[in-house]
Amino acid sequence: MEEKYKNIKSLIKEAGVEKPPVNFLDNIMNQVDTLEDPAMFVYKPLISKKVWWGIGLLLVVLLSSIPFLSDTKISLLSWIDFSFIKSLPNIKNPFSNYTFPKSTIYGILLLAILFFVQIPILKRRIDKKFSM
Amino acid sequence: MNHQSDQYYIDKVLDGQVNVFSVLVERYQSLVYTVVYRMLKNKEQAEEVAQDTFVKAYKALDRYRGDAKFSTWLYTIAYRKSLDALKVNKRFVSSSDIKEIGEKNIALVEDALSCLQAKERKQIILDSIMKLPEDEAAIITLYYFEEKSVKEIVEIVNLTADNVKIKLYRSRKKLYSLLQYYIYPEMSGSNGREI
Repeated sequence: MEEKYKNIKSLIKEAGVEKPPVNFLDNIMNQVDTLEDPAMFVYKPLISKKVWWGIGLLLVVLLSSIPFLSDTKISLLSWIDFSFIKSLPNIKNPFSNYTFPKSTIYGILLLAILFFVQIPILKRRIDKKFSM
Repeated sequence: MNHQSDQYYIDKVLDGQVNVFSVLVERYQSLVYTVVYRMLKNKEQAEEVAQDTFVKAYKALDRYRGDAKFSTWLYTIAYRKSLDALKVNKRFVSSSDIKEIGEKNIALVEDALSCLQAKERKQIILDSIMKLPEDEAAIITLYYFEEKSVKEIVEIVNLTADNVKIKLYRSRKKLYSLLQYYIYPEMSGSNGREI
């Protein structure tokens, strides 16, 4: 078969290549340069380092001050009268006699597993969508 | 400086010398643009897709492992981007049913071509290539112009080797049929069927 069309290579060679537009290279390099702008990829943390130090200091101060606080036994709970609870009507757990059928439990379990399966799938899909 | 291997420049780009990427673009822009243009058959769109190809290649450069030639890797991106663009457009150029060329006419076409002036001949060949279906136009350019092996084309177009060979065979035949149509319109299809 090849012999029949023995000139095809020279024909295609003769057709040559198309010349890309004049500003082709510049356009590409411009796009590449804007990609390279490092300011685009600097992330600012939500809580700055200064604030973290402040929080840490506050925690240390609070913890270390515990032993020095007065040891009175006043509690917030002793101020409230809880006796009203006894006067409330006794509410029974309406589901105390209910047992789950096994199939329901399996169903819920399966649903839970599938839920965790879809997370990596969705993650990969979204990653793919937003990656280059 | 231009005689360094692709890998030399790729390493430099990865080292942070962004501007070195222009050497790689210059080296392959014509070929990538040609393949894309012959597939999309539209200059503006081909420009856009070819540019996208290089930008994507730049972004993904750290993932190029050097298993294949850089050009093969680049064509793979270009080919896929072109297919995507074609899908979006739904502008698939319907491959025409031109009357198939008979064996004895092959020599006739070649003789006629050799009698034409170079400029005219080139135009006829170009027109014929542009009339080929998009994948065949790409494959025939890669195989005969770029002299890529079937193995490399398999990587680029993601088909089996047999499939690529069949497509090469068909595109050869189609190209000659098209050439015959341009040179001897009266011989291809007596009813004056349009391409």
